[in-house]
Amino acid sequence: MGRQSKALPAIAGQAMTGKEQRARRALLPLPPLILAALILLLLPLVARAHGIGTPQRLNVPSGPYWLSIWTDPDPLRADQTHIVVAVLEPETQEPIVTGVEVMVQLRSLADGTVRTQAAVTDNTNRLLYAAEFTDHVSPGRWEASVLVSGERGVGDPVTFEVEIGPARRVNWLWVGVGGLGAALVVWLLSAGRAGRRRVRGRPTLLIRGIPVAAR
Amino acid sequence: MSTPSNPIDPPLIRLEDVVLGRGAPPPRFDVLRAPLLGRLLKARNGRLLLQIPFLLVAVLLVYDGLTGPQLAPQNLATVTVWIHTRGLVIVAALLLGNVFCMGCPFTLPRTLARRLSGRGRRWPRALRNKWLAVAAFVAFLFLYEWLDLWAGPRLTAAVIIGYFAGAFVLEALFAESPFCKYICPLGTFNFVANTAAPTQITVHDRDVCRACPGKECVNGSARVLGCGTELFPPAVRSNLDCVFCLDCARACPYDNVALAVRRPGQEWTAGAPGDGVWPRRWDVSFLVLVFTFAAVSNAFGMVPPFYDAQAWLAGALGLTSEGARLALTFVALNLALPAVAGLAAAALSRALVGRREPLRVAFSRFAPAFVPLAVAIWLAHYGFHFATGALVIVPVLQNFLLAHGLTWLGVAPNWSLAAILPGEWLLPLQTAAVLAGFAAALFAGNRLARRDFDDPAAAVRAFVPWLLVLLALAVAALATFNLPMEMRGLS
Repeated sequence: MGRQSKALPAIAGQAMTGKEQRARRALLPLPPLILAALILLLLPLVARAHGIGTPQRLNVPSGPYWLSIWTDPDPLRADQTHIVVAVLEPETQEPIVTGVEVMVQLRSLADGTVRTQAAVTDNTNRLLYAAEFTDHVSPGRWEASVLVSGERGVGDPVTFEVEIGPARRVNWLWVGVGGLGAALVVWLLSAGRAGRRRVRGRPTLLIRGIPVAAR
Repeated sequence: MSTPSNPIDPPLIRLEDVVLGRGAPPPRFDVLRAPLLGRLLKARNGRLLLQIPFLLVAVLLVYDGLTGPQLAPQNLATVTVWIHTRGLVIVAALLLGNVFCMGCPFTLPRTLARRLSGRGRRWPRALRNKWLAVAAFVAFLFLYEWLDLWAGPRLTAAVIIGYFAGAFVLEALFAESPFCKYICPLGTFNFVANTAAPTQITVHDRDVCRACPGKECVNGSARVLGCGTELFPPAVRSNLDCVFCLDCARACPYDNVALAVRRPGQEWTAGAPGDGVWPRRWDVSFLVLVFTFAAVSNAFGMVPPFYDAQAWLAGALGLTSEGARLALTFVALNLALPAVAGLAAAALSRALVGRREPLRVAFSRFAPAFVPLAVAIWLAHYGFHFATGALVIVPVLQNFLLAHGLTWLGVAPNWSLAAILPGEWLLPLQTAAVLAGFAAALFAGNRLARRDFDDPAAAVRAFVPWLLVLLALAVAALATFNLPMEMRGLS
């Protein structure tokens, strides 16, 4: 089968009747609405999040517990600072996910500011505890301290130092969306140029003096 | 010349004259004729060179998964499977081809199973399509989330054992490698991803195949099994269903089969108007859409809005069972959404150009254009985990060896090893990957439209509804990647 044009339906001899075309036109608004709804549905809400991240302390004994601690993201930024803690049972190394309280404290080494958060079972990782300090800390060096208490008793504080950088300057979501827009513009321009080229370059085909669509 | 050991499937024979001459073009460069590498790949036990190391790794993972530390970031099974394998699969697809199916250790029992079963039964006709693969693929993603497979070394080991058992049983009962072709979720992932690959099976001279009496590439010979998925090399136009086992090349008595280097993604837009390389089938096209939507939803499942949605579902519908909530979400995001979006786009596309054609044709026309975006999103997601956790294999391996009294890699694990790229590079790279995937999708979609519609305006109208879906997916992926992603299994 040759190339198709608007005047030549895909299935030869089965051009749409006027009634069918009207019915199709009546249905036209429906798919765009569905598509628009889908686009809105697919856009995730911007929200806070926890990862696991960069290991700071792993399998450190802390009284009756073992602790593993990560910071996320890498490097930490003032607009995103998460501390993630795994509390392990020392003998089996199985994660303890209930019956413990995990407190995380950040102390600025520059001005002594103290921020304290109770780490909760992470939304995205039910085996870990996470504390979020987003937008509550300033760039600079901080000392982090993690303390676990629970049925087995109170652990020893586990400390480490972290460097927190300034908030991210570039919003990569908008960079990405801009890139998508640029790609669309390039496509539209090239499609328009192709259309004009075709109109200019296509000779009119006459059969017995009647112009017909070129195939 | 050897004689066929079993008769070729009759439908393939009948199709032969039709398909000869429609396969991929003769290769400009044949990897199988490269010095050394070609000989290695075509050696009788060439596949074993990859499979045996993979098998040893699989055995090691099962052992550590069952007996090692049960904290995922410190266990070989979880780290290797969920960080390294997934990351490398997608990179290999883009750079080399389907080397993971080529080296798949799960198919090692194939020969034994075939000998046990003789030729086996034919796979039921009703299942000779991709619907089961779609279901298995989505089910695997669901189980991964529901059972927290990434966090469970024992469960990960169980998955590996299950794969061996499933492949063996199905291979023993049926001919045509049904596990690989119709079920395996990893194979399904690899099949679609490797349509982007720069390599493909083809032949040097189709006349040789036409005159070949034995068709050993499919039938096999006394020495070598034929193609497990029953592909006929001169008719191969796509990497879909090709596991790169190279049994066809080993079986060919004329050394006519080639592993050709091609333009990546060439098959997406190749073919004549109305007769593309890809079959215009509901199942194949739907699989590609599911593959694309799952790329977004799989990443989306690792950021808090997903859990907010779960909490909302629990409150709004009173669904207390986590499994039920996840099942509902996965069916909605990975099956219902692609179906509704695809059907809506197809109906609108058809209406906009005024063509009276089956909806199936409109539905499948632009399916190949989704692959580059999907591959880019999977790459951005799995590549992120790989980039942030690739080196963690070192301390995990050190830990494993030390636990067994071996100090080959030092006397203490170096747990500070993790990332192979600076953290601040990742989001720009993910953004660039998605943009590149979208641009490639735009390019492919444009070519498909121009291939099937002579009128440029009609081509644009036909493509626009699909473009909206692609755009929505790309924006959703970008938004998801801009949220801090959970680094499962990272130490």
